[in-house]
Amino acid sequence: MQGHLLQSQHMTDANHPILSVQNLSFFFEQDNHILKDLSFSIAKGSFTLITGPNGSGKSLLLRCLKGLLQPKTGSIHILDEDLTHKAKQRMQAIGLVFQDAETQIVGQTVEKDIRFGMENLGLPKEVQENRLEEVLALLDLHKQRNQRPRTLSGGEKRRLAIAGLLVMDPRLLVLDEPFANLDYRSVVSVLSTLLRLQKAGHTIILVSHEVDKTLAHADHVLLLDDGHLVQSGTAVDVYPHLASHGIYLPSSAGIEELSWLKR
Amino acid sequence: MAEALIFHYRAQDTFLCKANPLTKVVAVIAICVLILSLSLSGLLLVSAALLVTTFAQHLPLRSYKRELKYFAFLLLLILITEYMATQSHQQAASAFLRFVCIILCGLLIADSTSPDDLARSLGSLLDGIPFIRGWEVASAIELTLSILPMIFDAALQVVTARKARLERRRNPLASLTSLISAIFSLLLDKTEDLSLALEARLFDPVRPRQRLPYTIADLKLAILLLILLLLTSML
Repeated sequence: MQGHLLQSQHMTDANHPILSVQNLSFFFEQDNHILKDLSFSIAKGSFTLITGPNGSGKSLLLRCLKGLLQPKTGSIHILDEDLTHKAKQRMQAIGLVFQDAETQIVGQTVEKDIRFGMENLGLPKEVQENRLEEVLALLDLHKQRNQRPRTLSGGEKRRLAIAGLLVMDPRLLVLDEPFANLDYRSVVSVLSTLLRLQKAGHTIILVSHEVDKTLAHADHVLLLDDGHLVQSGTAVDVYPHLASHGIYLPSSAGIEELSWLKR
Repeated sequence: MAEALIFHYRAQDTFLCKANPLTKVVAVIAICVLILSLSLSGLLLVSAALLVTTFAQHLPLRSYKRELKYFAFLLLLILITEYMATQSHQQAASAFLRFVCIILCGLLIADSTSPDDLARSLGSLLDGIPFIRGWEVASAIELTLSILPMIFDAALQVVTARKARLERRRNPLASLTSLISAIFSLLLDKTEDLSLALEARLFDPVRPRQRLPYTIADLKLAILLLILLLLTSML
């Protein structure tokens, strides 16, 4: 089992979409649609950045994808399987790191929290042990193993939230504003972990309006504004449209400079 | 580094942490029943034994001082009202010590038992009883215990936020009402977050979990409890 988590188990054709969303809409009140007719697809093994100003519907989109909210119209396919009305299967297929990672941590210690999801999946004890050791090493959480999650730093909490999902072997790893409230060192630590996972074949979807930290690494960028998908394409395609939709960009910075790993 | 909070589990290498949660629950029930019938000297002995256990468990009482103020206030109320009702120093002191014992038992079991472990032990026990959905009951207890420290977190968060904004308390009743509603609202948000987190990680309250074994720590706890029972019966 060594190297199980570092190497994605869901190997398919890289050009084949792992996630396909068609005409997805969501509203709380009939006359006030929050997500409006969104259609896009995500390639296997890609690093996708979903960005947009506050209130554009980014977090809500993630909750619909994950199955925490049911879209009102449209469809969600994961690896060609229609999971629109199968929320539980979407829950298992998509690992979502919440905006406030602390709220996601339910275990009383780091180890118990990582085990939580595996126990819910009913994995055999031996598999659990292997995955636990592997993820502790992969996300550098060995020293904190018996610590209470509450006593961890912001970056460690974020890494713990990722670890708790990674051991459940999701097909997609989705992170909602993973750099919020993190200092430079923690941002670098979380970002380099994500890139390592992508290199190993994991598909990463990252939601953030802080494009200066990640744009250089994105294979695919989706720009949302007011619930609409206003741009979709490579970083080069979307870059010129960001400022007009309220996304901060450092002046005269080229795309290749927009990464905190390169500072 | 966040400060230690009352009624939170801390993983430690102590005999109490190693003991099976069921043994600890039985011990707490035994102590609670015992203190109902004890005289003042017996209560002093039980309180002393529990205090020694809090030191053995390295309970960070100093970190809990803010929360312990609430209990100190309640203790004072109990002492005064019991004295006024009975006019007896002994009875008032006994009521005071009974409450101290209950608080110490609560602190010790919460500090040494993870709600998840308690659910495992209770679930496996209750599941054997006909017509009782043991794992579901155990999960309900686990969630209730998880919410308990959340209440203290929420209260602390609201009080600190109000202090930071220099809240002036003109009318104590209005102030208390707004404080309670703010705490309740925050608590609802926190419980919603918890339910989403559980749902997102496929939590199933009915799922049978792995049972926890009994160890030498359980034997130690049983022997200590037995010694305490014998000593109190001699007083």
